[in-house]
Amino acid sequence: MKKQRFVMIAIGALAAAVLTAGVAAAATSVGAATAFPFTARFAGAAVVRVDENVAYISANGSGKGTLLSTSKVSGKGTGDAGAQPCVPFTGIGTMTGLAKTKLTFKVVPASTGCGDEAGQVFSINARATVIKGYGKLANARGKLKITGVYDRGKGTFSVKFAGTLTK
Amino acid sequence: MRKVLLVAAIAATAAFPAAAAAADPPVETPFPSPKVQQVFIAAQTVTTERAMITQVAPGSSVVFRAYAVDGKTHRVLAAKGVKYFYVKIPNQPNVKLKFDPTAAGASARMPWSGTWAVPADYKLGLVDFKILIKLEAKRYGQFVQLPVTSAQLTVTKTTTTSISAPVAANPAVPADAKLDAALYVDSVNGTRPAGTTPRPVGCTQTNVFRRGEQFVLRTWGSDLATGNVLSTENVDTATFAVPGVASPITLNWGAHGATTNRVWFWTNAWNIPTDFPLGDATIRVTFTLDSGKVGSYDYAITIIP
Repeated sequence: MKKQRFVMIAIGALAAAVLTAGVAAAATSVGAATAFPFTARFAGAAVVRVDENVAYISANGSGKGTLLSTSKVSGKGTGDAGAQPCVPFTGIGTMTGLAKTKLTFKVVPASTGCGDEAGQVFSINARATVIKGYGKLANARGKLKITGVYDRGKGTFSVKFAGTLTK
Repeated sequence: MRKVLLVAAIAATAAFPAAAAAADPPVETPFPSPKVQQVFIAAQTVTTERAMITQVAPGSSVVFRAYAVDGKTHRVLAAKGVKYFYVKIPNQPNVKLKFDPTAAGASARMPWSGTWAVPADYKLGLVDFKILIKLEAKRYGQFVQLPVTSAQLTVTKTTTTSISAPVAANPAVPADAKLDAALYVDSVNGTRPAGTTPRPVGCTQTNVFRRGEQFVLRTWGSDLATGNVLSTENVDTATFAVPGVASPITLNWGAHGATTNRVWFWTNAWNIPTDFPLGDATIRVTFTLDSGKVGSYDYAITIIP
């Protein structure tokens, strides 16, 4: 009987240890950031006004994105129009999707729009840092690559955002 | 009811100008196409001394030289396994390309070559040639020049823009080497050289430059793992490095050519200093892909006084 009680206590202790470890492991899992691929594509209208070599950029478009579903993008920024053929620019923007899902981002230095020989069609090659996420993208963090085209003559653009975010 | 719908449609268009504009969004048109399938080919037109030329006179000759990469094995193609490889020229017999890195005009990097004797009565103007390959494994490839008129092979009686001088053989990629990215590289003379007088025609293919001229590098390529053409979507950095120049020069992805036939590839310029050493120089082109893989190409030029 004594032996049986000892076995029961040992099993109980072991079970408690396993359970404790399991809870600890789960907590680690909950606390760790989860990485996920993010892509979004937008097209729309952009206006660039140049004043004394400063390009004032504003853009609005619509498209789709990961966890955003059907969404809109808007952004404002400035660039150095004196630099040719590639205009360095920075700015901030917002992607707004369904169910109050939203992502704000900052376009960081070394981002450029490179024009063709006529200065009409620009290749966009930019990097952005996520400022804050809302809704399904709450707590999202990370960096995104922005690639696309801006047609100055038509005042239109199309861009793709791609990268790995964590939340 | 119809009137109500019309008013609603106008109101909707006014409220969502971005959506209206998005109906015709601008797009990239990568050269030669978004994907390079099966076999990659890069080719140049040169003299027997390896000087790249754009202009060729009737009655003279031009060497076509090329290299090719099997998109399936990622290997540079040597003679083995190639069923045919030739240049198709309008109204002319095909020019067969032979594998011989030591042939006149060829190099270790561009080991396939063939010579076209331009008939004295050949029609003046652009030569709309294409190069075709078929492997024993039944994979095919095709090459055409970038559609920028001034840089395409042209038969003309005035060949003053194509300067000729002996050029070093491009440093080799070993035959049968396995690549992560296949690259096409050439260069053209900038239209507004800072340190010397411009040539009669700007933006012609050349690898012989005078001091003070503007060297413009043009390149395109393919990620052999996916077949996708290299663009800002899959490239992290793209540069070319010039011996003696401290920092590599960033290559820019963008649109070029006539508005009716605009294509996208990588370019940037370097103003050759008026005291730059004479003779051969090797330009290293490097693409680092988002995947971490690297493609490089050593490109030979010659500087003359």
